[in-house]
Amino acid sequence: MRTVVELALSLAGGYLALGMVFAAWFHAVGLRRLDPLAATSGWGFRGLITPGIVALWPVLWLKGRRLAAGRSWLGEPGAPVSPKQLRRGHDLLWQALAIAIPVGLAAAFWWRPPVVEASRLPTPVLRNR
Amino acid sequence: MSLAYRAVDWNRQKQRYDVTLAGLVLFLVATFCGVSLLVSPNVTAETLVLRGTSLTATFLLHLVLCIGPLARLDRRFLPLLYNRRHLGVTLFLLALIHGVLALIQFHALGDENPLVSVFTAYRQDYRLTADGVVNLGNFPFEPLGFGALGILFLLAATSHDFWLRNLGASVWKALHLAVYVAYGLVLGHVALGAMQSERSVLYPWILAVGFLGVAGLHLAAARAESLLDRSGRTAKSGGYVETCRVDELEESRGKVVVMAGQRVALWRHLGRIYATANVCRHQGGPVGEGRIINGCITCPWHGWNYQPEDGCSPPPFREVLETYDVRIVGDRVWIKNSPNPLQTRCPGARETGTA
Repeated sequence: MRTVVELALSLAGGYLALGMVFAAWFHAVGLRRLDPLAATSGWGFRGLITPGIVALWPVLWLKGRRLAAGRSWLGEPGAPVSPKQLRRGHDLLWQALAIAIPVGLAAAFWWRPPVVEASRLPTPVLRNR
Repeated sequence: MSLAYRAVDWNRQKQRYDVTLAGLVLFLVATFCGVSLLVSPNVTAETLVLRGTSLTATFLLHLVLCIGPLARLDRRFLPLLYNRRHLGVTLFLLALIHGVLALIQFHALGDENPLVSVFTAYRQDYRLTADGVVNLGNFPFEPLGFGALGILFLLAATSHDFWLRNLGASVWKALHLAVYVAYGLVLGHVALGAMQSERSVLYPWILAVGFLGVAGLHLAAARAESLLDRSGRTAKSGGYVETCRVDELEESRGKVVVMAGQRVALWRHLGRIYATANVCRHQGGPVGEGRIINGCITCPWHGWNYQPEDGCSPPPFREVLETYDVRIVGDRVWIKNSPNPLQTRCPGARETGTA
Protein backbone atom coordinates (compact mmCIF):
# COMPACT_ATOMS: atom_id res chain seq x y z
CA MET A 1 0.00 0.00 0.00
CA ARG A 2 2.74 2.42 1.01
CA THR A 3 4.62 1.81 -2.24
CA VAL A 4 1.51 2.46 -4.32
CA VAL A 5 0.80 5.70 -2.43
CA GLU A 6 4.39 6.89 -2.73
CA LEU A 7 4.45 6.12 -6.45
CA ALA A 8 1.11 7.88 -7.04
CA LEU A 9 2.25 10.95 -5.10
CA SER A 10 5.55 11.05 -7.01
CA LEU A 11 3.69 10.87 -10.33
CA ALA A 12 1.31 13.62 -9.20
CA GLY A 13 4.27 15.75 -8.11
CA GLY A 14 5.97 15.25 -11.49
CA TYR A 15 2.74 16.10 -13.33
CA LEU A 16 2.34 19.33 -11.36
CA ALA A 17 6.02 20.26 -11.84
CA LEU A 18 5.57 19.89 -15.61
CA GLY A 19 2.39 21.95 -15.25
CA MET A 20 4.37 24.78 -13.63
CA VAL A 21 6.90 24.79 -16.46
CA PHE A 22 4.03 24.76 -18.97
CA ALA A 23 2.29 27.62 -17.10
CA ALA A 24 5.41 29.81 -17.40
CA TRP A 25 5.57 29.15 -21.17
CA PHE A 26 1.81 29.57 -21.52
CA HIS A 27 1.82 33.01 -19.90
CA ALA A 28 4.75 34.11 -22.05
CA VAL A 29 3.61 32.73 -25.41
CA GLY A 30 0.65 30.36 -25.48
CA LEU A 31 -2.13 32.37 -23.87
CA ARG A 32 -2.45 35.07 -26.52
CA ARG A 33 -2.20 32.46 -29.29
CA LEU A 34 -4.94 30.33 -27.77
CA ASP A 35 -7.39 33.04 -26.83
CA PRO A 36 -7.30 36.53 -28.37
CA LEU A 37 -9.50 37.86 -25.54
CA ALA A 38 -6.57 37.24 -23.16
CA ALA A 39 -4.10 39.32 -25.17
CA THR A 40 -4.64 42.51 -23.17
CA SER A 41 -5.58 40.94 -19.85
CA GLY A 42 -3.76 41.86 -16.67
CA TRP A 43 -1.77 39.93 -14.09
CA GLY A 44 -4.72 39.57 -11.73
CA PHE A 45 -6.50 37.47 -14.34
CA ARG A 46 -3.32 35.54 -15.12
CA GLY A 47 -2.81 34.77 -11.43
CA LEU A 48 -6.36 33.48 -11.12
CA ILE A 49 -6.10 31.05 -14.02
CA THR A 50 -2.61 29.77 -13.12
CA PRO A 51 -3.72 26.98 -10.71
CA GLY A 52 -6.04 25.69 -13.44
CA ILE A 53 -3.23 25.82 -16.03
CA VAL A 54 -0.98 23.79 -13.74
CA ALA A 55 -3.76 21.24 -13.15
CA LEU A 56 -5.10 21.00 -16.72
CA TRP A 57 -1.99 21.72 -18.79
CA PRO A 58 -2.37 18.72 -21.16
CA VAL A 59 -5.83 20.02 -22.19
CA LEU A 60 -4.47 23.47 -23.07
CA TRP A 61 -1.42 22.00 -24.76
CA LEU A 62 -3.54 19.68 -26.93
CA LYS A 63 -6.00 22.43 -27.73
CA GLY A 64 -3.16 24.75 -28.76
CA ARG A 65 -1.69 22.06 -31.04
CA ARG A 66 -5.05 21.36 -32.66
CA LEU A 67 -5.73 25.03 -33.26
CA ALA A 68 -2.25 25.47 -34.75
CA ALA A 69 -3.07 22.63 -37.15
CA GLY A 70 -6.31 24.38 -38.13
CA ARG A 71 -8.56 21.99 -36.26
CA SER A 72 -10.97 22.69 -33.43
CA TRP A 73 -11.24 20.79 -30.19
CA LEU A 74 -13.73 20.85 -27.31
CA GLY A 75 -16.14 22.78 -29.52
CA GLU A 76 -16.10 26.32 -30.78
CA PRO A 77 -16.03 29.14 -28.22
CA GLY A 78 -19.59 30.28 -27.62
CA ALA A 79 -21.19 27.02 -28.77
CA PRO A 80 -24.33 26.49 -26.67
CA VAL A 81 -24.76 23.94 -23.93
CA SER A 82 -27.11 21.07 -24.67
CA PRO A 83 -29.61 21.31 -21.78
CA LYS A 84 -30.93 17.81 -22.51
CA GLN A 85 -27.48 16.21 -22.23
CA LEU A 86 -26.75 18.21 -19.11
CA ARG A 87 -30.03 17.15 -17.54
CA ARG A 88 -29.31 13.52 -18.42
CA GLY A 89 -25.91 13.70 -16.68
CA HIS A 90 -27.55 15.38 -13.72
CA ASP A 91 -30.20 12.66 -13.51
CA LEU A 92 -27.62 9.86 -13.65
CA LEU A 93 -25.51 11.41 -10.90
CA TRP A 94 -28.55 11.92 -8.70
CA GLN A 95 -29.75 8.37 -9.20
CA ALA A 96 -26.34 7.14 -7.99
CA LEU A 97 -26.31 9.56 -5.03
CA ALA A 98 -29.91 8.78 -4.07
CA ILE A 99 -28.86 5.17 -3.46
CA ALA A 100 -25.28 5.58 -2.23
CA ILE A 101 -25.78 8.37 0.31
CA PRO A 102 -28.76 7.00 2.31
CA VAL A 103 -27.25 3.49 2.35
CA GLY A 104 -23.82 4.87 3.35
CA LEU A 105 -25.23 7.12 6.07
CA ALA A 106 -27.43 4.36 7.49
CA ALA A 107 -24.48 1.92 7.56
CA ALA A 108 -22.18 4.51 9.16
CA PHE A 109 -24.83 5.23 11.81
CA TRP A 110 -25.76 1.60 12.43
CA TRP A 111 -22.20 0.36 12.86
CA ARG A 112 -20.87 3.21 14.94
CA PRO A 113 -18.45 1.74 17.47
CA PRO A 114 -19.83 1.64 20.99
CA VAL A 115 -18.35 4.13 23.43
CA VAL A 116 -18.70 3.12 27.04
CA GLU A 117 -18.78 6.13 29.34
CA ALA A 118 -17.17 5.76 32.77
CA SER A 119 -20.41 6.68 34.56
CA ARG A 120 -22.22 3.80 32.83
CA LEU A 121 -19.63 1.15 33.64
CA PRO A 122 -20.74 -1.50 36.13
CA THR A 123 -19.50 -0.74 39.62
CA PRO A 124 -17.14 -3.78 39.87
CA VAL A 125 -15.34 -2.62 36.77
CA LEU A 126 -14.81 0.81 38.29
CA ARG A 127 -13.70 -0.78 41.55
CA ASN A 128 -11.21 -3.00 39.78
CA ARG A 129 -9.63 0.07 38.20
CA MET B 1 -19.98 40.07 -21.02
CA SER B 2 -16.56 41.46 -21.75
CA LEU B 3 -14.08 41.95 -24.60
CA ALA B 4 -11.10 41.15 -22.39
CA TYR B 5 -10.68 39.01 -19.32
CA ARG B 6 -10.36 40.61 -15.92
CA ALA B 7 -9.66 38.92 -12.63
CA VAL B 8 -13.17 39.86 -11.47
CA ASP B 9 -15.69 42.01 -13.35
CA TRP B 10 -16.77 43.88 -10.25
CA ASN B 11 -20.15 45.55 -10.06
CA ARG B 12 -22.38 46.64 -7.21
CA GLN B 13 -24.27 43.34 -7.04
CA LYS B 14 -21.09 41.25 -6.92
CA GLN B 15 -19.71 43.47 -4.18
CA ARG B 16 -22.89 43.11 -2.15
CA TYR B 17 -22.86 39.36 -2.75
CA ASP B 18 -19.29 39.01 -1.55
CA VAL B 19 -19.76 41.22 1.51
CA THR B 20 -22.82 39.14 2.48
CA LEU B 21 -20.88 35.94 1.91
CA ALA B 22 -17.95 37.12 4.03
CA GLY B 23 -20.40 38.11 6.78
CA LEU B 24 -22.07 34.69 6.64
CA VAL B 25 -18.73 32.87 6.85
CA LEU B 26 -17.55 34.98 9.80
CA PHE B 27 -20.90 34.51 11.54
CA LEU B 28 -20.83 30.72 11.13
CA VAL B 29 -17.20 30.33 12.24
CA ALA B 30 -17.69 32.69 15.20
CA THR B 31 -20.93 30.96 16.27
CA PHE B 32 -19.29 27.54 16.11
CA CYS B 33 -16.25 28.72 18.08
CA GLY B 34 -18.44 30.44 20.68
CA VAL B 35 -20.67 27.41 21.24
CA SER B 36 -17.67 25.04 21.32
CA LEU B 37 -15.91 27.17 23.93
CA LEU B 38 -19.06 27.16 26.06
CA VAL B 39 -19.45 23.38 25.82
CA SER B 40 -15.73 22.48 26.03
CA PRO B 41 -13.70 25.36 27.54
CA ASN B 42 -10.44 23.41 27.17
CA VAL B 43 -10.63 23.00 23.40
CA THR B 44 -7.51 24.22 21.60
CA ALA B 45 -7.46 27.02 19.02
CA GLU B 46 -6.28 24.62 16.26
CA THR B 47 -9.18 22.27 16.92
CA LEU B 48 -11.63 25.18 16.94
CA VAL B 49 -10.45 26.44 13.54
CA LEU B 50 -10.19 22.90 12.18
CA ARG B 51 -13.79 22.12 13.06
CA GLY B 52 -15.18 25.62 12.46
CA THR B 53 -13.88 25.69 8.89
CA SER B 54 -15.12 22.16 8.17
CA LEU B 55 -18.60 22.92 9.49
CA THR B 56 -18.80 26.18 7.54
CA ALA B 57 -17.50 24.55 4.36
CA THR B 58 -20.06 21.75 4.68
CA PHE B 59 -22.83 24.31 5.16
CA LEU B 60 -21.68 26.29 2.09
CA LEU B 61 -21.55 23.08 0.04
CA HIS B 62 -25.19 22.42 0.89
CA LEU B 63 -26.00 26.03 0.02
CA VAL B 64 -24.22 25.77 -3.35
CA LEU B 65 -26.21 22.64 -4.16
CA CYS B 66 -29.53 24.18 -3.12
CA ILE B 67 -29.19 27.43 -5.09
CA GLY B 68 -29.70 25.81 -8.51
CA PRO B 69 -33.02 24.10 -7.76
CA LEU B 70 -34.22 27.05 -5.64
CA ALA B 71 -33.66 29.39 -8.57
CA ARG B 72 -35.52 26.97 -10.87
CA LEU B 73 -38.47 26.87 -8.48
CA ASP B 74 -38.71 30.57 -7.61
CA ARG B 75 -37.08 33.44 -9.47
CA ARG B 76 -36.67 35.40 -6.21
CA PHE B 77 -33.66 33.16 -5.53
CA LEU B 78 -31.96 34.13 -8.79
CA PRO B 79 -29.70 36.74 -7.13
CA LEU B 80 -28.09 33.87 -5.17
CA LEU B 81 -27.14 32.22 -8.45
CA TYR B 82 -25.56 35.33 -9.92
CA ASN B 83 -22.19 35.03 -8.20
CA ARG B 84 -22.28 31.38 -7.15
CA ARG B 85 -18.71 30.87 -8.35
CA HIS B 86 -17.42 33.13 -5.56
CA LEU B 87 -19.38 31.00 -3.13
CA GLY B 88 -17.67 27.92 -4.58
CA VAL B 89 -14.20 29.45 -4.33
CA THR B 90 -14.87 30.47 -0.71
CA LEU B 91 -16.02 26.95 0.03
CA PHE B 92 -12.79 25.56 -1.45
CA LEU B 93 -10.63 27.97 0.58
CA LEU B 94 -12.37 26.96 3.82
CA ALA B 95 -11.96 23.28 2.94
CA LEU B 96 -8.29 23.94 2.14
CA ILE B 97 -7.71 25.56 5.56
CA HIS B 98 -9.38 22.54 7.16
CA GLY B 99 -7.27 20.13 5.11
CA VAL B 100 -3.96 21.88 5.78
CA LEU B 101 -4.65 22.14 9.52
CA ALA B 102 -5.64 18.45 9.66
CA LEU B 103 -2.45 17.57 7.79
CA ILE B 104 -0.34 19.55 10.28
CA GLN B 105 -2.18 18.44 13.40
CA PHE B 106 -2.55 14.74 12.64
CA HIS B 107 0.17 13.86 10.13
CA ALA B 108 3.09 16.29 10.24
CA LEU B 109 4.48 15.54 13.67
CA GLY B 110 5.96 12.11 12.90
CA ASP B 111 8.81 11.06 10.63
CA GLU B 112 6.43 9.98 7.84
CA ASN B 113 5.74 12.12 4.77
CA PRO B 114 2.43 13.79 5.82
CA LEU B 115 0.77 13.18 2.44
CA VAL B 116 1.73 9.49 2.50
CA SER B 117 0.46 9.32 6.06
CA VAL B 118 -3.00 10.59 5.00
CA PHE B 119 -3.42 7.47 2.87
CA THR B 120 -1.67 4.92 5.04
CA ALA B 121 -2.02 5.90 8.71
CA TYR B 122 -5.48 4.44 9.19
CA ARG B 123 -4.91 1.44 6.98
CA GLN B 124 -2.04 -0.26 8.73
CA ASP B 125 -4.07 -2.40 11.10
CA TYR B 126 -7.53 -1.75 9.76
CA ARG B 127 -9.98 -4.53 8.88
CA LEU B 128 -13.59 -3.81 7.91
CA THR B 129 -14.76 -6.69 10.05
CA ALA B 130 -13.12 -7.93 13.21
CA ASP B 131 -14.42 -10.94 15.19
CA GLY B 132 -17.52 -10.99 13.00
CA VAL B 133 -18.40 -7.37 13.86
CA VAL B 134 -18.28 -4.50 11.37
CA ASN B 135 -15.65 -2.05 12.50
CA LEU B 136 -15.94 1.51 11.25
CA GLY B 137 -14.09 3.03 14.20
CA ASN B 138 -10.79 3.41 12.35
CA PHE B 139 -12.10 3.55 8.80
CA PRO B 140 -9.66 5.42 6.51
CA PHE B 141 -11.96 8.41 6.07
CA GLU B 142 -9.29 11.00 5.30
CA PRO B 143 -8.71 9.95 1.66
CA LEU B 144 -12.42 10.69 1.07
CA GLY B 145 -11.88 14.26 2.28
CA PHE B 146 -8.70 14.51 0.22
CA GLY B 147 -10.62 13.45 -2.89
CA ALA B 148 -13.37 15.99 -2.21
CA LEU B 149 -10.74 18.72 -1.72
CA GLY B 150 -9.14 17.79 -5.06
CA ILE B 151 -12.48 18.11 -6.86
CA LEU B 152 -13.29 21.42 -5.15
CA PHE B 153 -9.85 22.69 -6.19
CA LEU B 154 -10.51 21.76 -9.82
CA LEU B 155 -13.89 23.48 -9.77
CA ALA B 156 -12.52 26.64 -8.11
CA ALA B 157 -9.49 26.72 -10.42
CA THR B 158 -11.68 26.51 -13.53
CA SER B 159 -14.39 28.90 -12.36
CA HIS B 160 -13.19 31.86 -14.46
CA ASP B 161 -14.90 32.57 -17.81
CA PHE B 162 -11.54 31.88 -19.51
CA TRP B 163 -12.11 28.20 -18.74
CA LEU B 164 -15.73 28.30 -19.79
CA ARG B 165 -14.66 29.65 -23.18
CA ASN B 166 -11.64 27.41 -23.69
CA LEU B 167 -13.01 24.12 -22.40
CA GLY B 168 -16.32 24.76 -24.18
CA ALA B 169 -19.58 25.30 -22.29
CA SER B 170 -20.65 21.64 -22.47
CA VAL B 171 -17.35 20.24 -21.14
CA TRP B 172 -17.18 22.98 -18.51
CA LYS B 173 -20.70 22.27 -17.27
CA ALA B 174 -20.03 18.51 -17.26
CA LEU B 175 -16.82 19.07 -15.29
CA HIS B 176 -18.68 21.16 -12.74
CA LEU B 177 -21.23 18.38 -12.21
CA ALA B 178 -18.38 16.78 -10.24
CA VAL B 179 -19.56 18.92 -7.31
CA TYR B 180 -22.07 16.12 -6.66
CA VAL B 181 -19.24 13.60 -6.41
CA ALA B 182 -17.50 15.96 -3.98
CA TYR B 183 -20.73 16.13 -1.97
CA GLY B 184 -20.89 12.34 -1.70
CA LEU B 185 -17.23 12.21 -0.62
CA VAL B 186 -17.75 14.94 2.00
CA LEU B 187 -20.72 13.11 3.50
CA GLY B 188 -18.65 9.92 3.58
CA HIS B 189 -15.72 11.78 5.16
CA VAL B 190 -17.91 13.14 7.97
CA ALA B 191 -20.01 10.00 8.46
CA LEU B 192 -16.97 7.71 8.67
CA GLY B 193 -14.79 10.20 10.51
CA ALA B 194 -16.28 12.63 13.02
CA MET B 195 -19.54 10.69 13.34
CA GLN B 196 -17.66 7.54 14.39
CA SER B 197 -15.49 9.18 17.01
CA GLU B 198 -18.27 11.18 18.66
CA ARG B 199 -21.55 9.74 19.90
CA SER B 200 -23.43 13.02 19.59
CA VAL B 201 -26.69 12.70 17.64
CA LEU B 202 -25.88 16.07 16.06
CA TYR B 203 -23.76 14.63 13.23
CA PRO B 204 -26.30 12.07 11.96
CA TRP B 205 -29.06 14.67 12.17
CA ILE B 206 -27.09 17.36 10.34
CA LEU B 207 -26.09 14.96 7.56
CA ALA B 208 -29.56 13.44 7.17
CA VAL B 209 -31.43 16.77 7.22
CA GLY B 210 -28.87 18.30 4.83
CA PHE B 211 -29.19 15.41 2.36
CA LEU B 212 -32.99 15.36 2.54
CA GLY B 213 -33.07 19.12 1.92
CA VAL B 214 -30.73 18.98 -1.08
CA ALA B 215 -32.38 15.88 -2.55
CA GLY B 216 -35.91 17.22 -1.93
CA LEU B 217 -35.18 20.51 -3.69
CA HIS B 218 -33.63 18.70 -6.65
CA LEU B 219 -36.65 16.39 -6.91
CA ALA B 220 -39.07 19.33 -6.78
CA ALA B 221 -37.09 21.20 -9.47
CA ALA B 222 -36.88 18.08 -11.66
CA ARG B 223 -40.65 17.66 -11.38
CA ALA B 224 -41.25 21.29 -12.34
CA GLU B 225 -38.93 20.88 -15.36
CA SER B 226 -40.66 17.67 -16.38
CA LEU B 227 -44.11 19.33 -16.17
CA LEU B 228 -42.84 22.19 -18.34
CA ASP B 229 -41.47 19.78 -20.93
CA ARG B 230 -44.79 17.95 -21.07
CA SER B 231 -46.75 21.17 -21.51
CA GLY B 232 -45.91 21.44 -25.23
CA ARG B 233 -48.82 22.17 -27.59
CA THR B 234 -49.42 20.00 -30.61
CA ALA B 235 -51.73 22.14 -32.81
CA LYS B 236 -49.89 22.84 -36.05
CA SER B 237 -50.69 24.77 -39.18
CA GLY B 238 -48.44 25.55 -42.13
CA GLY B 239 -45.22 24.85 -40.23
CA TYR B 240 -46.36 26.94 -37.23
CA VAL B 241 -47.15 25.62 -33.75
CA GLU B 242 -49.65 27.14 -31.35
CA THR B 243 -48.03 28.10 -28.04
CA CYS B 244 -50.05 30.35 -25.70
CA ARG B 245 -52.44 33.30 -25.52
CA VAL B 246 -51.09 36.80 -26.07
CA ASP B 247 -52.36 37.95 -22.68
CA GLU B 248 -50.25 35.27 -20.98
CA LEU B 249 -47.17 37.30 -21.94
CA GLU B 250 -46.13 40.12 -19.62
CA GLU B 251 -44.60 43.28 -21.05
CA SER B 252 -40.78 42.96 -21.29
CA ARG B 253 -40.74 39.59 -19.49
CA GLY B 254 -39.96 36.24 -21.06
CA LYS B 255 -42.14 33.16 -21.09
CA VAL B 256 -40.78 29.69 -21.79
CA VAL B 257 -42.89 27.45 -24.02
CA VAL B 258 -42.14 23.98 -25.36
CA MET B 259 -42.36 23.18 -29.04
CA ALA B 260 -41.47 19.76 -30.45
CA GLY B 261 -39.40 19.02 -27.35
CA GLN B 262 -37.46 22.28 -27.61
CA ARG B 263 -37.83 25.17 -25.20
CA VAL B 264 -38.42 28.52 -26.82
CA ALA B 265 -38.53 31.93 -25.15
CA LEU B 266 -41.42 34.26 -26.05
CA TRP B 267 -41.14 38.01 -25.51
CA ARG B 268 -43.68 40.84 -25.52
CA HIS B 269 -42.01 44.20 -25.97
CA LEU B 270 -43.35 47.58 -27.15
CA GLY B 271 -46.36 46.11 -28.90
CA ARG B 272 -44.59 43.23 -30.64
CA ILE B 273 -44.10 39.53 -29.90
CA TYR B 274 -40.72 37.86 -30.50
CA ALA B 275 -39.45 34.30 -30.12
CA THR B 276 -35.84 33.23 -29.45
CA ALA B 277 -33.98 30.13 -28.34
CA ASN B 278 -34.07 29.66 -24.58
CA VAL B 279 -30.44 28.63 -24.00
CA CYS B 280 -27.98 31.41 -23.13
CA ARG B 281 -24.65 31.14 -24.97
CA HIS B 282 -22.76 31.80 -21.76
CA GLN B 283 -23.60 28.98 -19.36
CA GLY B 284 -26.80 27.64 -20.87
CA GLY B 285 -29.02 29.72 -18.59
CA PRO B 286 -32.77 29.93 -19.31
CA VAL B 287 -32.95 33.33 -21.04
CA GLY B 288 -36.75 33.02 -21.23
CA GLU B 289 -36.92 33.45 -17.46
CA GLY B 290 -35.25 36.83 -17.79
CA ARG B 291 -36.47 40.28 -18.81
CA ILE B 292 -35.95 42.85 -21.52
CA ILE B 293 -33.87 45.66 -20.04
CA ASN B 294 -32.89 48.70 -22.13
CA GLY B 295 -34.23 46.95 -25.22
CA CYS B 296 -32.14 43.81 -24.72
CA ILE B 297 -33.14 40.33 -23.56
CA THR B 298 -31.16 39.84 -20.35
CA CYS B 299 -30.30 36.35 -19.13
CA PRO B 300 -31.35 35.93 -15.48
CA TRP B 301 -28.18 34.05 -14.56
CA HIS B 302 -25.36 36.45 -15.41
CA GLY B 303 -26.96 39.27 -17.37
CA TRP B 304 -25.83 38.39 -20.90
CA ASN B 305 -27.68 40.52 -23.49
CA TYR B 306 -29.36 39.75 -26.82
CA GLN B 307 -31.50 41.90 -29.12
CA PRO B 308 -35.01 40.45 -29.50
CA GLU B 309 -35.23 41.24 -33.25
CA ASP B 310 -32.21 39.24 -34.42
CA GLY B 311 -30.96 37.38 -31.32
CA CYS B 312 -27.56 39.10 -31.60
CA SER B 313 -25.71 40.53 -28.64
CA PRO B 314 -25.36 44.30 -28.99
CA PRO B 315 -22.08 45.36 -30.65
CA PRO B 316 -19.20 44.80 -30.07
CA PHE B 317 -20.24 41.39 -28.70
CA ARG B 318 -20.83 38.51 -31.11
CA GLU B 319 -22.96 35.94 -29.30
CA VAL B 320 -26.18 35.02 -31.11
CA LEU B 321 -29.42 33.25 -30.20
CA GLU B 322 -31.66 31.66 -32.81
CA THR B 323 -34.89 33.50 -33.56
CA TYR B 324 -38.22 32.07 -34.66
CA ASP B 325 -40.90 33.60 -36.89
CA VAL B 326 -44.04 34.51 -34.95
CA ARG B 327 -47.69 34.88 -36.04
CA ILE B 328 -50.66 36.02 -34.02
CA VAL B 329 -53.90 34.29 -34.91
CA GLY B 330 -56.85 35.65 -32.93
CA ASP B 331 -55.51 35.86 -29.40
CA ARG B 332 -53.01 33.01 -29.88
CA VAL B 333 -49.27 33.10 -30.45
CA TRP B 334 -48.00 30.71 -33.12
CA ILE B 335 -44.30 30.18 -33.78
CA LYS B 336 -42.54 28.51 -36.67
CA ASN B 337 -41.38 25.02 -35.76
CA SER B 338 -37.78 25.57 -36.92
CA PRO B 339 -35.44 28.45 -36.11
CA ASN B 340 -34.25 31.03 -38.62
CA PRO B 341 -30.61 30.99 -39.73
CA LEU B 342 -28.45 32.79 -37.16
CA GLN B 343 -28.53 36.61 -37.27
CA THR B 344 -31.75 36.66 -39.30
CA ARG B 345 -33.58 39.89 -38.56
CA CYS B 346 -37.09 39.01 -37.49
CA PRO B 347 -39.34 41.99 -36.77
CA GLY B 348 -41.71 40.01 -34.57
CA ALA B 349 -45.50 40.07 -34.82
CA ARG B 350 -47.80 42.85 -33.70
CA GLU B 351 -49.80 41.97 -30.59
CA THR B 352 -52.98 42.76 -32.48
CA GLY B 353 -52.26 40.17 -35.11
CA THR B 354 -51.36 42.38 -38.07
CA ALA B 355 -47.86 42.19 -39.53
